[in-house]
Amino acid sequence: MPILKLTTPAPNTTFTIADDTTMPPVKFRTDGSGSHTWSWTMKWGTFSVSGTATSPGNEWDASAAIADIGGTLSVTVTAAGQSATIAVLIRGTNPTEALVTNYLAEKAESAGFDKILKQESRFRHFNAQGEPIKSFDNGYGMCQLTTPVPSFKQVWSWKRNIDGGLQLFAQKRNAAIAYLGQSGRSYTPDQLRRETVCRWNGGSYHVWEGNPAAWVRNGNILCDTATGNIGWDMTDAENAGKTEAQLRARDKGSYSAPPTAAAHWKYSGVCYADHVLGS
Amino acid sequence: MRTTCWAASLLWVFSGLACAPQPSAPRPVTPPRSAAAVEGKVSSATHAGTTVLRIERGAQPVDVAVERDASVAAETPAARVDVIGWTDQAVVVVDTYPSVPGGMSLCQAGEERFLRVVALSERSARLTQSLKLESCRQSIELQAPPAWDAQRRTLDLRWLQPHPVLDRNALTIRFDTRGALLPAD
Repeated sequence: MPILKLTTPAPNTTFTIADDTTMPPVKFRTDGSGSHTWSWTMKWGTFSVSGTATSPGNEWDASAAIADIGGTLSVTVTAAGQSATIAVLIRGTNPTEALVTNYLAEKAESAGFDKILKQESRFRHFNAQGEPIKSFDNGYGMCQLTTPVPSFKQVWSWKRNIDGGLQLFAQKRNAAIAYLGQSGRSYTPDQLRRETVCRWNGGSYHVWEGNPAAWVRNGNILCDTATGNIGWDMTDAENAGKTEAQLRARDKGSYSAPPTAAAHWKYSGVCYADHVLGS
Repeated sequence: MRTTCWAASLLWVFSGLACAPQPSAPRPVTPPRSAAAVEGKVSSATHAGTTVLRIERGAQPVDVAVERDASVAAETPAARVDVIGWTDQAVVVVDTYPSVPGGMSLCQAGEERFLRVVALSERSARLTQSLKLESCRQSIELQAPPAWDAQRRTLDLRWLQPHPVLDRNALTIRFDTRGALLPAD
């Protein structure tokens, strides 16, 4: 009795997702005839998803079934009572900065998020092996999604990953709007952007002061411009009257770990926003 | 009222340095406390992911354990513990911690703050209310500092957006004439 054979592709062939997340054709073909049933499983790390498809003939393109995911794709095909199994690899391609910024341009309330992505991940979603970047604390992809645990698609598709990051960004934007707009106060789009980016890192950027009163950057925070978000509260007697250079010389030796209660420097969302957006 | 961390006994991890007051000033507490309520001192220590508040008022100190949540790293001590107000039978305290940062530096400069109402007797302390007061990870933010009114024995809390658990923007915590916590509205 002839044995069913998978004639295409070769085992362990690598298919590469395009930089715009488009899945290439992933076609399987046997030497059989008639109706075929294709049972597939995609696995990567702790992520796994399975499905079944049927075809009237001996060819099946898996690309639609595996859209936005990747890893090792195992396929078992059955026809006329016989079966064959094969595994292939699906890998990814990093987007260009232009692709990411164009994608974010479609998102009305994302102002500032592109700058955070550039600062934090340089728009990289995949490592040199074409697999999603994973941080030490299980942060996946360009946005380092951790909590809630990202879906398989959010891990493999940089667009779905950004969508997840934007959900978190939206919380900070809503908080910034509530803060800046309290008591009917007015604010500019740039103030909203700075307040949102500041809150992403922690704390508020603006204070309401002056005559007439207006939203202004918190003037009590002096930033170490050689860092991403380290600064000093200048109302602290230990910092008052000192320059950035003096304070950096005093404190930089302890920057490698979070500040202790005895430290007079701190992480500051104000400094983060100034660094990411330009002061 | 600022607090300090007390030195370790054989049973507690020494965290005096880690619990020293932060250089930055806490949010101001308004209004002044009643002269009728005896005040004391509150300090803290952290062990195995739990904060223990030590309240010193009266003949001997009393301790109460308070839980944090996943937004605070297990062994992180309180950055500061602020007393909001005293009644004859209770103390209201806020303990503050640095946030566990998320990906992409999310909340690396953030804080997590918990409001605690602790019922006091001569020999014991009992946590009667605990709520997340402010949070970078959960985007919970007060509109104004907690407003303690010693004459009316009330604590008014107002948030910029609805509190995600309470589902409301405002909450008033009330105490009876003996200083015991009354049921919420």
